[in-house]
This record gives sequence, C-alpha cells and structure tokens, in this order.
Amino acid sequence: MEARKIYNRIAVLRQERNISRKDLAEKVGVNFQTVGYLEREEYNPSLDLAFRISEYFGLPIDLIFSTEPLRPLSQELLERNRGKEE
Amino acid sequence: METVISQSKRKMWVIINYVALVLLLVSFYTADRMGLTALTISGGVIAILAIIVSFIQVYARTGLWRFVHTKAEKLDEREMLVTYESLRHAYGLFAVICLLIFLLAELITKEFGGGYKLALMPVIVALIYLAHVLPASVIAWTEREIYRG
Repeated sequence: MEARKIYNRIAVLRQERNISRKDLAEKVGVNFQTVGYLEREEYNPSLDLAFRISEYFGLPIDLIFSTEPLRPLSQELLERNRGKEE
Repeated sequence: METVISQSKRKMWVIINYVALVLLLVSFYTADRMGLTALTISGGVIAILAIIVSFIQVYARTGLWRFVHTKAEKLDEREMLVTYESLRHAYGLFAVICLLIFLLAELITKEFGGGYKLALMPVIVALIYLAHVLPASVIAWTEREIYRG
C-alpha cells in the first residue's frame, strides 16, 4: 500500500521562529538534510519524529501535520477560537 | 560551508568513475596480451587518475562513502531508509553485473581467446571496488539533495 502524503507547516514555523534547519535538526535529533526533505514534504516522518517536532514547537501535532493540504495557520487558529467561543 | 552538488554533476562523476574502471581493466588486459606500450601505460594512468578524482568528488567530498558505511544507530530514520533502498538496489545491480562479467569472460576465453587464459584477479578486484561504491552510487544518482562539505 502506498503511503499517503503528509502535509506540514515545519517551514513556516521554523521561519517564524527564526531558527536554522541545522538548529531544528539538532533539537529533534535528525540530520539537517532530513529537515529539508520534511519541509518539502518529500518524506513522511515517523510518529515519534512528528511528536518530537510538535513538542519542540509547543504546538498540537494536528496543527503541524495533516493528510490534507494545510491552510494558513492564522486562518486555522481563528476558526479554532471561534469554535471554542461557540 | 556546505554547498549543494547538483544531481547532474553527481551522475557525471559516477559515470566517469565507472568508465575509468572499465578503461583500467581494458588497459590491463591489452598490456597483458600485447605487452606494455605507451598507449596501455597512458590509458592505465589516466584511468587511475580519473578513478581517484571522481571518487573524491562524488563519494568522499559529499560524505556518501562514509554515509553508506556508517552504523545504523548513527543514522536518522530517513537516512536509514535511504541506505536500505540503496543497498537493495546495489545488491540487485551487483548480481547482474557479476553475471554479465563472468559470462563475458567465459565467452572471451573460449570463443575468441585462442588459448589465452583470462586472468580473473583484476576483474575480482574491480568487482570488490564496485561492491563498495555501488550503494553510494545509487544514492548519488537518485537523491535530490546532496551537500558537499
């Protein structure tokens, strides 16, 4: 069975926090080239690596990874907040 | 400072490496059959230099040689997958190359050799070299992003 493509927001989050690929790679315990592959969505991370990345960014895993193409993070958060208020 | 070495350049160096290996074998067998001449000596020297230069460019400076010989626990999950795939492809390729070379050697000896006994040792040495560089060649050939240190 062919694996589904996993979309992610790693590149956006990394740029937002102004950290290099090397720094992120060091923090989550992978090679910096692997971060590049993840950002280009050419490699699907294991569950363990996905959790390490979400723990590093301090965000829920479903906010970083998705099986559907991701919308801008601001839009996502706005809708989540609206959902809480209702 | 790491710079990306393009896939086309990597492919070019891999081809040079293998063509030089074949040229070295041809030079050796020509010299073995017809004696040392300026042509066979220069062919051999050029081949050795080309092997060394292309090896440095595509396997040593990119770290691919070390990468495919690194213990699994020192690799991350993507690297382990890349190594596994490269070894799988290299294993299949190596089996086919061995089969073709030994068939060719048999054919040359029996049909066209005229009593000439083909020395197998240079071919075996070339095959051992091939067995070691093939996984790295597969990665150099297929991977999109390889850095040169």
